[in-house]
Amino acid sequence: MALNPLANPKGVKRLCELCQKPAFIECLDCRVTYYCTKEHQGIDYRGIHKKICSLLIHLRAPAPFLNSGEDRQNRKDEMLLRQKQMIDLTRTTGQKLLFEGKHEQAVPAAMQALKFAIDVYGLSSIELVPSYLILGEASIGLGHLSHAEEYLSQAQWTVLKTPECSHDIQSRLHRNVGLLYAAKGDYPESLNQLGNDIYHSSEAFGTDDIRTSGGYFHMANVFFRLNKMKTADSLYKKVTTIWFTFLERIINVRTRTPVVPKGVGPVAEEPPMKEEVLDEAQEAEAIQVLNAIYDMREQQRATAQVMAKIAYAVTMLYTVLHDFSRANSFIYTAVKASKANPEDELSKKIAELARMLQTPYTSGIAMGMKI
Amino acid sequence: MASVGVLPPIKKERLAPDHPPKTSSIGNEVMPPITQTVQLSFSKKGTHEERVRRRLKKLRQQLPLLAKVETYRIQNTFKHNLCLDILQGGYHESFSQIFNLMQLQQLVRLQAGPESVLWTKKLLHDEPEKLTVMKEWLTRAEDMELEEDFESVYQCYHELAKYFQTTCNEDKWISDTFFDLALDATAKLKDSDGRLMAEAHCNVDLHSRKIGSYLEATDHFEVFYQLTEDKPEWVGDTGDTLRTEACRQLCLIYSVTATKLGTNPHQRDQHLEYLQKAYDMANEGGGVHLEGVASYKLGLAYEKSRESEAAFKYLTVYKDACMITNDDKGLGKAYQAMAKSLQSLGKEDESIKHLEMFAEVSEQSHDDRALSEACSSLGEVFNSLGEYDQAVDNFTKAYNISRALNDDATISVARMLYGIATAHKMTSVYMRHIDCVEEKGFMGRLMEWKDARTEEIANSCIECEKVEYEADKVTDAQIRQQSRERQDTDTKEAEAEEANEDDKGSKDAEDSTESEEDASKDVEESKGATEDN
Repeated sequence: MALNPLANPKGVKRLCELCQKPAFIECLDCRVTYYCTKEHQGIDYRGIHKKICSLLIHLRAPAPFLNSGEDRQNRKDEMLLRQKQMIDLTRTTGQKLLFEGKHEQAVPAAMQALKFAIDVYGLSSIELVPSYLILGEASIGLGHLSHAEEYLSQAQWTVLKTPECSHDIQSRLHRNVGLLYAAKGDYPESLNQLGNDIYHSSEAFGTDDIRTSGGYFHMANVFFRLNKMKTADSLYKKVTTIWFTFLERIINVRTRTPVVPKGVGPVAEEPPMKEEVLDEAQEAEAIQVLNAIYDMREQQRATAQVMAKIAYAVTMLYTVLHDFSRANSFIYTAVKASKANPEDELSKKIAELARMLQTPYTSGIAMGMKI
Repeated sequence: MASVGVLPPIKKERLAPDHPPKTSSIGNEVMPPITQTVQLSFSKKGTHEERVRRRLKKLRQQLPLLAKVETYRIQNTFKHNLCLDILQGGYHESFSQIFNLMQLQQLVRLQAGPESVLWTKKLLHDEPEKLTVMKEWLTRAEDMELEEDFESVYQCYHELAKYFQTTCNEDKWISDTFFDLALDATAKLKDSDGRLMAEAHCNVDLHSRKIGSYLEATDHFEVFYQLTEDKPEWVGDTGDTLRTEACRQLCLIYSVTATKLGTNPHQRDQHLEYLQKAYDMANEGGGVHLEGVASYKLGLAYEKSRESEAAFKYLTVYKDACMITNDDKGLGKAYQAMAKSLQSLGKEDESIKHLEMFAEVSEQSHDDRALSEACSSLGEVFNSLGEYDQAVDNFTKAYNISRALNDDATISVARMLYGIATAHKMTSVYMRHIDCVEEKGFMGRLMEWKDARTEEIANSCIECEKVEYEADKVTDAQIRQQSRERQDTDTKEAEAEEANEDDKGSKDAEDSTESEEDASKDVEESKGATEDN
């Protein structure tokens, strides 16, 4: 990474991208991002700058001289669109980093998202809440509970001021606040918040959506810590089932054999089935949640049926993500666990997937992978 | 690590109240004990607004300080709070159940649109009482499920379903859901004898029958029937064995299905088949009454498809059943139907016997309408047998009864039948006149009139008179001539002629009776029409 020491010209104030202190170095690729120290540059680069470096040039370059008002308006619109795209990109990145457990790296991404959101929507908009939430969660992950509380309070206040706030945002807010309380050790309050999260999320997506499953998962963790094993267990089961059905749907869509028309005649074009997609953050969440449950079940020495189910779910996940080597390692467990009752519906499915995974090339084609 | 420094300051607007309210500090304050009452007298100081503000402040101080959760409780809807309560206990299944039920209801209502009846119905989330009951039972069920006590789970769902049965008609679908859940719960029972499962099946299909999906109900009941096989020790709430219950319900379902099929003439075979099934079920355990009814229906169906012998067999069963249960009305119906099938078998005597019994029974039970029916049926039989005296007797009876009942439709029919029978009775007198040997002239005139019959009645009448007059003259002249010329002719020849004329006359009579029969048929048709009306 090449860096230029800055000799700040008079009258121009360059501020560090992260801490807003006077900057002394700049990124050589885009030449529009400045840092106070190399350390900050490194954090930013790993967190988000790697992804948005080239995109920032367009946004931050000084505005060219445009003659007509129409051109100016066009440029303005274009900038706005780009900024909105940047918000999406940075936010998703931040969320993904959070799920991967890289809390420190998530902070710069969330900060970028927050900056862009402020630019686009103003200071008191509800659009800032997701960024606050990521920052809050990152702070919880880093152990800075007071920071987290500050961010989350900010978010809460914004939500409170916006009564027409969507259920989606409310659910995420409550989830983060719940996590904060859980981290603080205030479990009843945490359960209350997580309950709110599930309620709002169900209002927005339904009770059995993967976006609702996160609330159940965190709730299960809280019950686990409260040592109410049976409740926690049933909640973990619920999370597994939600992911299980979701992944199964995807696999079914991908491996469906198209209907071969018989005889001569006009071929009825059937509408292609819509495949649900996981965005990056959801992928990371799936990996985190399912692996966590898998590890826990392994430690618990759960029954063969439960084990088979979770192992199968993890296998499906890695198959969907085209990570066949990992999928193969998990299917082994699934097959072993399903031997207990081979007549089961589940066991048949597992056997089928195992057979498909044994021939990675064909399965790759079947799964729509470019080879 | 520089991470602490990484966290940037939060930009704040200068004037906007971006600072979150410090609720925690308020919560920590110790509330002053409320000792004073509100002072209604005010000091003269300050303007009116200031005084009002002071007063409000004082009033507000009297209110208890709320914790965060409590404020939320007040802010949120009842549904929200209920869901929160459930979720805080970790009862995710209960939450899903309640939440999805409410969602489903709203969805159905939206689809039905604002003009439907559903739109005016009260929604579930406006009925706290029901929701609370649901919450209690569901959470209990979930607790029990965690304990793997599935029998209790079944009980919980069952109670809940029963509760919704008692509430109001619109909640049937809810109780249906819970019956289904109860059935699912019994599937998880491992070491039971299947009695609960049987009961659950019974409940589910009783319910699906109520909402009209008979095929589904049939499936469930058949499972129930199989489960209860060889289990005479299972006794239900009413004291009957479950097996009997199964038979009874299956019988009912089959007969309903049959009735539905019966409307379609192409499904006659299936119709019979279902009725037969219903009868078998009733025979096995439905009790005398149900068996009777089933056999009656089966008998009628057989009669309809012209298998009178089989019909008679089943109708006899019904008759016996009615005798046991002292059901006079049923007995009457049985006799009537039996008489009908006997008649189509060609056994008129027995048919009359049965009809007489029918009349007797209905007389005993003072069922006048049935009696009138019996009399007219009897009359019809006698009429067709040519015993007009008895026919007239019976029709008179029927006519009088229906007059007493003052029932217009039956009166007119009875009157008509009575008229026909009386007319038939007259035919014998008429025939005697025509057949009369002495008055040959009648026959001859009749023959001639018949030969010369033309379209116009009036003309024909005049012509007839003329012809008759001339014919009379001619015959007189001939007779005189003959008497003059052949005074010695044998009387035998004359006898032979008479005999010929007799034959013709009898043929004529037959013709006339035929035409009268046609007329009576017309009358019957008209009777049918009036009955239809």
